[in-house]
Amino acid sequence: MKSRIRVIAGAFFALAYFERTATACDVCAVYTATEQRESRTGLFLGVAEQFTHFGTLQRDGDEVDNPLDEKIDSSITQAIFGYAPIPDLALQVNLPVIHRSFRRAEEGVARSDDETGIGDLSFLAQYALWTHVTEQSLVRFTILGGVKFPTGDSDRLAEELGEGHHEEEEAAEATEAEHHAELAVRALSVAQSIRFHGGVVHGDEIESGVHGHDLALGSGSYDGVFGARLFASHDRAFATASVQYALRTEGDFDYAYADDLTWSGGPGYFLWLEHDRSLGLQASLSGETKGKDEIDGARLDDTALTALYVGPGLLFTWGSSLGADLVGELPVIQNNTALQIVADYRIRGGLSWRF
Amino acid sequence: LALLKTILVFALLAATPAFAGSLGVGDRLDRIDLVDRKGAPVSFADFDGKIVILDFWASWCVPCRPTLGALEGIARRYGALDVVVLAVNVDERRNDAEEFLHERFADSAIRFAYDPGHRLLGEVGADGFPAIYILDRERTVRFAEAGFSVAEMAEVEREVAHLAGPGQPPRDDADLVSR
Repeated sequence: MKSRIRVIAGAFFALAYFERTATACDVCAVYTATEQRESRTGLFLGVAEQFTHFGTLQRDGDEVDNPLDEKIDSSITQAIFGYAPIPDLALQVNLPVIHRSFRRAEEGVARSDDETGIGDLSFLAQYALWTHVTEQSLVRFTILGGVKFPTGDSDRLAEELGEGHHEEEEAAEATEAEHHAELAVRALSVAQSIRFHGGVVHGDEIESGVHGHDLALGSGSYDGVFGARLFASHDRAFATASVQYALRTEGDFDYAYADDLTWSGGPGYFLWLEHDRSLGLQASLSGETKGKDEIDGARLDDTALTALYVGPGLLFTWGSSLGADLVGELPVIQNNTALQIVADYRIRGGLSWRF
Repeated sequence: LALLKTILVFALLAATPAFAGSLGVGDRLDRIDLVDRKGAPVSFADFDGKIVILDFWASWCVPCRPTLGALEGIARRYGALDVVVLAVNVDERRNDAEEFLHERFADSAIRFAYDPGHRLLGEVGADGFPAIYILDRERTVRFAEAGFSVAEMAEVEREVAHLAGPGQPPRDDADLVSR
């Protein structure tokens, strides 16, 4: 109890300190932290991390038992190398380093393993399309576009060929006899799922929610990336919004990830603003929506997902050089198709330096 | 993998200089490509052999106003000693700046200029507003600070007096922070 009081008192005094030392020109500090920082020409480097713990099995949006404690701990660390030839334009290369440790059902038993390596490198261009500044507010709108290259190992996608869950293919090939056989297997599945304390079985094996497409480091495809970002502030209040659309093409093993739309943003408030540094607290909302992947044109039923995450975030800038952010998020909506493992929480952070 | 991540982070931090902003004391600023209020080019050739006080300002920046007032006084006092105040506006719309200048600096000793596309500001990497740099006659930065305070303006004047050398400027404090 005492420690909790100390934490609350500490937070109160920290806020009071930040307020007392605030600059008289909030928009000047916000301008330095956003427009001026992002308009700097020359080299910039960055590191971004996204850690996600997947530990819940869901079938068609509903949680099901996870008797073998299937999970994925996914860490994606992006090294960012950028150059801004002019203030409004920045070019950057993102090189992801991926580590995924996982446990899943294989041949009826739980098996742990991990997958590590570089992911798909992407080349992006960002352009500041519009900026507006007044004595109290600032708005900056940026667009981006680029290409993702097939540099990551896509071998895990080969597992999808053996899963035999192509819904259109199944529909096309199913004969009446096969249909009856499938009904029999389903009946067996139900019986076995009772035996496995509610665990999910498929045929005579436990069906895993951890799939090859969840583990693959790369797609083997050249994909397009398009997006936009908006920053708006008024006095010390601010809001951000960013959206990114990935236009996916067919890659290795005739596998094509579905196009996906990701977004993030939310309202925030600068707790600390000085002419050369800032600290903002943000209510972060982020999410993604993705359709069904395909193999050779046949859709895979365990690949679509729409998710919404919420959580607090901190944004820090020092001068027009250093920028850092940290966000912790919990999923509030996860609508998936078929059986998939879904996220329990995720942590995102980044650090960038403009020279 | 942990080692790789550690290397990435430390590579970033190792590349981090000890000061914020890319143009600091001791650096040289070799060129400027600005335009004056009539659109004519402004370069260092216009200030050959002179000490230049470079001030980045905007009409929306409230602390920039007393800074310009103080710099007006310095421009008047030290103009005869080869000191030029070059105030570079970074407003998105020039009309905002022109309106402000028409109201408050109709008759000024300051040289006002615009930075097309914020190229110079992007190169300099100012860490706040207003941002002031004092360049000696060789274009070496002798003073670099952001933000406004009376103490800082006094420091600017001390540095200018030091660089300008012997010679007493006429006193004219009326302009200091009066606009």
